[in-house]
Amino acid sequence: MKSISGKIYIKVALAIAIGAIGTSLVTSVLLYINAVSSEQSKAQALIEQIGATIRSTASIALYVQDKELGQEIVQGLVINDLIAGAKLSDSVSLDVTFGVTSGNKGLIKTEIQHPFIPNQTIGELLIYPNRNYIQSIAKQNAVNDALLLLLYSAIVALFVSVFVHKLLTQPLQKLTASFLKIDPRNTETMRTLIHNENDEIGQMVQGINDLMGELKSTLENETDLRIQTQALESKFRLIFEQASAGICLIDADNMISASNPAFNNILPNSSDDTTFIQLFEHVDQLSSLLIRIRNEESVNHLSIDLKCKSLLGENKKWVHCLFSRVTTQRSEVRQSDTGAQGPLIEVIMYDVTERAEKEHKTRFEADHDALTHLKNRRAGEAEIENLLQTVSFLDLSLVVFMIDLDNFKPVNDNHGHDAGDRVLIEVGKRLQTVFDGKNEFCSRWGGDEFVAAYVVNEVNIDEIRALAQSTLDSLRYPIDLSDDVSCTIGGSIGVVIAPTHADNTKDLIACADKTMYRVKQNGRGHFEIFDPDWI
Amino acid sequence: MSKGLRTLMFSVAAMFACQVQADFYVVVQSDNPQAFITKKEAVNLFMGRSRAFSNGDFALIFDLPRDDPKRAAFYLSLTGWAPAKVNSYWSRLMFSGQSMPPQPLPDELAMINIVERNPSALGWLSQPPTNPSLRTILVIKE
Repeated sequence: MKSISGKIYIKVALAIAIGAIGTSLVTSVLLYINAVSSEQSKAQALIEQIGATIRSTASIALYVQDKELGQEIVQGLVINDLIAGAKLSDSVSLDVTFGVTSGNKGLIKTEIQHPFIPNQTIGELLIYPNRNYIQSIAKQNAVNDALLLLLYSAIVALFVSVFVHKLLTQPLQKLTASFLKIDPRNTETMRTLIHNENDEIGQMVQGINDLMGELKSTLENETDLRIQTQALESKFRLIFEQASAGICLIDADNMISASNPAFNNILPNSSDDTTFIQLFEHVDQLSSLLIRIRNEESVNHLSIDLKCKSLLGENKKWVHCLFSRVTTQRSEVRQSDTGAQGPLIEVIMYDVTERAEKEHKTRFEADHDALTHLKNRRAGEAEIENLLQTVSFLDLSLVVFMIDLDNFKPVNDNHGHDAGDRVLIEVGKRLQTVFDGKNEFCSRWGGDEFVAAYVVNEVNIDEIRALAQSTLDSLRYPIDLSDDVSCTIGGSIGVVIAPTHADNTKDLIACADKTMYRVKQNGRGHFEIFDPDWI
Repeated sequence: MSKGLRTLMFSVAAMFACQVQADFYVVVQSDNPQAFITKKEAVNLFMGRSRAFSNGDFALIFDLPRDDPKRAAFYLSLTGWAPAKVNSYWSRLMFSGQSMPPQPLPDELAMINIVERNPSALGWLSQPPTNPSLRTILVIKE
């Protein structure tokens, strides 16, 4: 139960009562003012009537100058409550007074006619009304009226409050009670409210029932839909969580906003504060790819093989990633919610370490000589092509050594192919130590032929000669074939310089070949630098 | 001579009046110095306002009995009042005890006798007085 002032019918009754009291008070004041004036005029009329009744006697008293009779008259007048005092006088000598004769307000003056001579004034009668009495009567009347009004107001307020209680509050209380039993989350509790009378409350109840019916069916539909959605969602969740592929979403700041267990298995190093890019070694490539997929409308999918960053001692891991821009309405809504820029990117990744390693191995095998592990001829040509481009682009020079071993065939013939292989491996190691810098390489061209090349800023013939000589010297050291057998070989080197002598691979190699044969013809064991004048 | 003439004139007038209507005669003793009075003075005397003649001499006023029809006619002629009103008038004055109505006499003969003997007396008659010791000082027409 709420406090009593919370109830409508009490409020209505109080409001009516207060209004009625206010009105009654105002009305009472007006009534009082009105009553005073009406009582005064009534009293005046009464006094005039009284005056009229004694006028003939007063006339006689004045005529006969009878003071006693005059006294009798004024005393008789003052007996009346309405009259405070009276005075009877004439111009000659008679002057009788009784009661209070002060104050002229409301004074009633009556001229007394001569009893025998018409239209002749013989004296005057002054009557002083009792104002206090008149006012007290007026007040009494006003108070009575006010009390009556108050009583009337109280009765009206009581009746109104009873009716409001019966017709409005009680039905509303019942309605509220049954309304409170309704749980908006539980459609079972939504029962039709009952109000039998066809008044405003009945119409409201009808409205509520209609609304509740609508709400109930909507809620039931909603519930069905939610159950279906939940079933669907759990299926999708199952697919997401049980997928063998790692799946994640990347937001505009390249942070991983969602990921499945497979993702975390593939990349155990990922944590909440690392960006997606930081997980891989190809940072530049990856970030440019992400920018592309975000900004190019035509590109929806991109795929790439990435090498994962790994801790020390861990095997390098490779993943194949498929990037797709997620463009659903929901993602747009989410952007506007979070204020993030750019769409989300979905990444699906497979662990391709095994395949990548196999590819890597295959590529290595394709590019390298199996015996010396130097680059093979094909890879060497490609490397020269590459370096030529660099050189021409940066205005540098490329020095190429075409190296052929001397006295190799006798070793092969005398000590067998294994010994020959060992010599080739040793030569490869020695050349590798000479040409192991950046923009330098050494390749096995075939048989006992090797090609080495390096980039220089400026062509210094002396330096080239020195390097060619030290290369020849390194080849002349004896090579151990077994514990007690060793052999000594030598080398012939043809040197060409690009772009001085040629600006393409084919011509460059041809020049180097020509120079190397010239060295062979001229007695081996030394080097020569290509000279265009030979032709 | 002059007295006789005046008497004659009065008599003629009285006769004339008598023929037309009944007049009333306010009389005093013939020794009274008051030659005549006005009607107003008569009203003042008969209605109790005044108790003296105009020369200041005390006046002793006499009336006929209340039930005399001539008295009713006299007062009607004098004041214009009905006898009941006249009676009421006197009742009020008698109530205060200050004024008394004129002394009533049994009839007009008694009136003549009283006035004849008293020089202060004042009375009234329905006939002109034949007695020489009485004098009419006012004739009131009906």
